[in-house]
Amino acid sequence: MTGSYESLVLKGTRHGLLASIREDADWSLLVSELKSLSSGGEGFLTDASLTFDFGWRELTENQFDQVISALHDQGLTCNGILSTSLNTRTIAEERGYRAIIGRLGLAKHQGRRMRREKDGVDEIKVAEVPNTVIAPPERVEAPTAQAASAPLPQAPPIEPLKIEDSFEVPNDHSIEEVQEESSQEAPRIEDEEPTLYLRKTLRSGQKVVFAGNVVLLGDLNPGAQIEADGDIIVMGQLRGTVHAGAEGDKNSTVITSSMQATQLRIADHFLTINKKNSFFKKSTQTGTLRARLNGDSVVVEALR
Amino acid sequence: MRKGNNVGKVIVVTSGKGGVGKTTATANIGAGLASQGHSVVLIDTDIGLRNLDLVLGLENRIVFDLVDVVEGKCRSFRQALIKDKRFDNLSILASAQSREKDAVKPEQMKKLCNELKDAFDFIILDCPAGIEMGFKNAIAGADEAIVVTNPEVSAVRDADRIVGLLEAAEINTIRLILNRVKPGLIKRGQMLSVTDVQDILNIELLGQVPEDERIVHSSNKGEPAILDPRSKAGMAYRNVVARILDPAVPIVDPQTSIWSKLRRVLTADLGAQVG
Repeated sequence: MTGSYESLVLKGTRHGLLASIREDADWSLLVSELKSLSSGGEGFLTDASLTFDFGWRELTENQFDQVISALHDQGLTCNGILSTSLNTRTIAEERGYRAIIGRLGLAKHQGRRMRREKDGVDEIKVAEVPNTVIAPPERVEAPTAQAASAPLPQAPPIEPLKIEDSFEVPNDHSIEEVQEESSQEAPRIEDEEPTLYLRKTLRSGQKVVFAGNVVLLGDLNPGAQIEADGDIIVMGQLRGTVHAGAEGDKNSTVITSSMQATQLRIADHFLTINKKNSFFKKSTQTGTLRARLNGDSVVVEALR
Repeated sequence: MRKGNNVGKVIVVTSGKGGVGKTTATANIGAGLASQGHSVVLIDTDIGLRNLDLVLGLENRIVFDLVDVVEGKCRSFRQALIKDKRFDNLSILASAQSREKDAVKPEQMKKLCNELKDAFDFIILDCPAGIEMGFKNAIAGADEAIVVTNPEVSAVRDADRIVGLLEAAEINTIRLILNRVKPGLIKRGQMLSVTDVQDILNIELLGQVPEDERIVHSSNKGEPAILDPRSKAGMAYRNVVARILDPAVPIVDPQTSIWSKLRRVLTADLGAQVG
């Protein structure tokens, strides 16, 4: 369910309605579109509660109040905001709204996609159809290979981790969905599932929830969590908790070069890893490992 | 009063977990910086659990405290500052004992830190344990952070959480003090080594302080260990202070300290004489 607004993208997520504000959209256009959420072109919004993703945009107190009053006039409420700007978050928090550091960048992503379509560039080169009736391993290898081959050469070395994009993850147990769209290249494949690239260390207490695949270029520390509807690839040390196929996709896998997790979850199954593997003992297994669901049990195997 | 020409630096000493040695670290770093001629103020932000004054032996001099200052009960912060017995350029601002953490707001701490910056070279905040209001108050005005942790899984886990929170609060200089290191246990593989901790936290190591029984005694006496030339922990803290002032100074590893080397040489000599 995607509304056709110019300045924002509405998306239904498992945590409610998300309104991603295009970072380059004109403010007055945005306000007028916000005012027409319940009456305008789409007209399906009543009594809804929205989460806003303001991205990099820095809001003034006045602008924030404009957004809230536009919502209130239509009987809509604000659930909370996502923003990378400390000022914007502070303004929201002062007014009693939950503010989370980060951004999804969905709106801009969408905008770029629309631009591409307009320019007539056919980007859909690989006709990969996921979720067809292929045996699990094959299905897995395809997206993995794509994910690994396309973005990684451009990515900077994993360590030291520079948070140049300042991708921050929530600090309390709140939920955040962040999607990076890398600045140089647009996604090559029109995946059914989007992929989130995170280039940082996820520390204890930080949690990333994403309705798609997650690729972490950095460590997942003990106590940190990734919950993805699709596959999870951790390029650093995997020490935290990962949950692939959180929405129940049994074909989801976890791929990492350093398996030091204490627990692995895939769909509705989980594997507790023996204490011998953790903390004191460095992972003795080298090479890329893959965890997948084999019947009713999670198995970890070397990936060739 | 101040040595440097630049504005002072506000450093918060924090850990997440309690009992890892935040207050001891604050007192020692403060005394160390003061002994090098810098003007230093230490602020105990642990409202309701006042103890920085005890470690420095200044309990009986407290008239006004942090809450009095932010509530404007004294004329200026200067009236509430308690001058140290040993160093003229070291003072502390005690916390209130009979109030709660919410007696102070982050904006008030920020304002106070900014005022103090003009008068002191270093403002060191002793943060309470936990990640609630007290922590938020303490980090509100900080430019830099020193995370104190012990080589224990639980302390490291909490420190990791703290580093995440500090990063989110846009405090970008975060350095680590690994406290209560027992080289013997590490050698036997029973304690996390410095590398193990660094592997997880991935932040710059400021120093490592060995476990030292003398520190209990020096805290009880109200004499910072850094002033005790025989204390191993004191020596490590002198190294920490040197590294705060000049990051190029190398870290002293407690396992290869001059003292242990000297002891080894001496015992070897004695052994030779006896034999």
